[in-house]
Amino acid sequence: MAVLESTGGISAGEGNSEVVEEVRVGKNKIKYIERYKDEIEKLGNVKITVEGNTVRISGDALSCYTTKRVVKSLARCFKKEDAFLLFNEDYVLYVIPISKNKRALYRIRSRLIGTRGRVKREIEQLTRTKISVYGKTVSIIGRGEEIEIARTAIEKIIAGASHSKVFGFIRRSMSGIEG
Amino acid sequence: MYDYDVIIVGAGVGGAHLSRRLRSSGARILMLEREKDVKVDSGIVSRDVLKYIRIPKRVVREKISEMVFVSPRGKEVSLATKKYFALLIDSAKFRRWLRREAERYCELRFETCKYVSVKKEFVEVSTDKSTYVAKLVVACDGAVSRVRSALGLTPPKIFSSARCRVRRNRHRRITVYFNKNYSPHFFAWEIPKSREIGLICRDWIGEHLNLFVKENGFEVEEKTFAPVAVGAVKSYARRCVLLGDACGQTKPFTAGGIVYTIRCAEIAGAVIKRLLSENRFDERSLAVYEKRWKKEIGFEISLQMFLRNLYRRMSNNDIEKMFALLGREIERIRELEYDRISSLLRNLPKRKLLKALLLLLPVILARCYY
Repeated sequence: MAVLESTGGISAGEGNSEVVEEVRVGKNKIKYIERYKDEIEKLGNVKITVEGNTVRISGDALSCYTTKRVVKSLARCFKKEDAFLLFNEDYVLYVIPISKNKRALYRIRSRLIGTRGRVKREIEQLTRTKISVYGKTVSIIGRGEEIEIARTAIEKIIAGASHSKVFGFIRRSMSGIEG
Repeated sequence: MYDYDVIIVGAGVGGAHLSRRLRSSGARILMLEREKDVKVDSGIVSRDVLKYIRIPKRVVREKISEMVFVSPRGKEVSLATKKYFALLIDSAKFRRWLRREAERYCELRFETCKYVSVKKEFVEVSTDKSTYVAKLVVACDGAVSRVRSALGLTPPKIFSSARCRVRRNRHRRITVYFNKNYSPHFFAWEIPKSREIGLICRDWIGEHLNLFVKENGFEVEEKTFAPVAVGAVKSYARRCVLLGDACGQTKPFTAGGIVYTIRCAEIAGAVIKRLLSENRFDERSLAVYEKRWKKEIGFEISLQMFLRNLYRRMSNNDIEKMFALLGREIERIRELEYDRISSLLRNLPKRKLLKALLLLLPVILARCYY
């Protein structure tokens, strides 16, 4: 099972208000996260312990929250560089479920990715976001309005809109935000 | 009853120039702009712009009198004229300067236009902060116009353009790549002075850009994507005028539109001034505006549209044939009006042009490739 669920068990410590967050991670992603454990601890200023397939993050509330997003995105199969963008507060992670139906899941996933990843790459480039299709979900990392546009575009593809219509939508809506 | 006489939505080239035109009418003008800073384009403007605006010297980067066209198989044809035919301007500086000039004649507010509703006696423009009532609204808000969609007018065709900063250039001169692999509808370009490359196409722009960058070995630093409007559409409605990209006042062959927009702003200024004095804003009297700008640039737009449709249907092989046929003649050209493709065609010998048309006959008759 590669589906992620997070349980925010907050235990208020005394004095320096220590917070513990738990993230449940797919079994085959544990090693991947452990590889970057030291870097995450250093950048996020937290402590990480791994038990079975749960990752426990302890530290003060804010850094716990940001680190949780990073761990979550790593569990969604993002590259390290992309996941570490989330240490910046401006970036947001969205996880969108695709479908419960297995055949529909395969079909929609391949529509989202495209031949050799061209659809995915196109959306990433146009909206300046990072997208990862993994398991039963699509996840997006991005900023502000850009991520909203990417999300709407992806939801449109999931709902069955044709690629060219979706690109047209992105083209029209990206004009509002100029980088 | 009216807060303002005229509301201009968008403080780009069109809006800013129009407000300068309207200053002598004494109208109260409000200019709405969404963003604090200006947007930029690649900055090639035909020298005709000097007829309408006195551009300060510091804005001009270079006078262009030479351009290189590259065919799909790498054949180069250079076009060099005696006098410069276009200017390379610093787009950001130019637009900032225009906006500052415009601010002297009208009120500029940084608000986002949300909706426009036209009533019999007035027009109501609602922004994210408040609502204004005016006699007339002018939409200069670019290819994806809010005002246009609020009024339910047909949009022009919208393409997307990509521009990139690169670390190092391949050519010394401005280069235009005609290649169907880079862009099926348009072409790719390279401007050495501003270290810029770019292309325009419809779908899969990221993929086309990647291919262009990869095949030519550029190192890209930053990318920007922007929509581009092509093809003229209806440019007026009751108490409303569209200007610039909003109604496709661009060159369909190259998608550049600064000079056309400025020209149309002049016309719009004259028409609006008269209408303000007569206090008539119904559709019939605003139709004069469209009639007049179509008279000036309508033919050029439709001719370029025809050429563009032709180009869209051509294959790489056809382009190669055209290069072989017309390359020499183009190199011989000594004078060029950058805004008028018809002047270029007139300079080419008629026999060669006829031959080209004959060669393209199967293309004209065939179904579209893309």
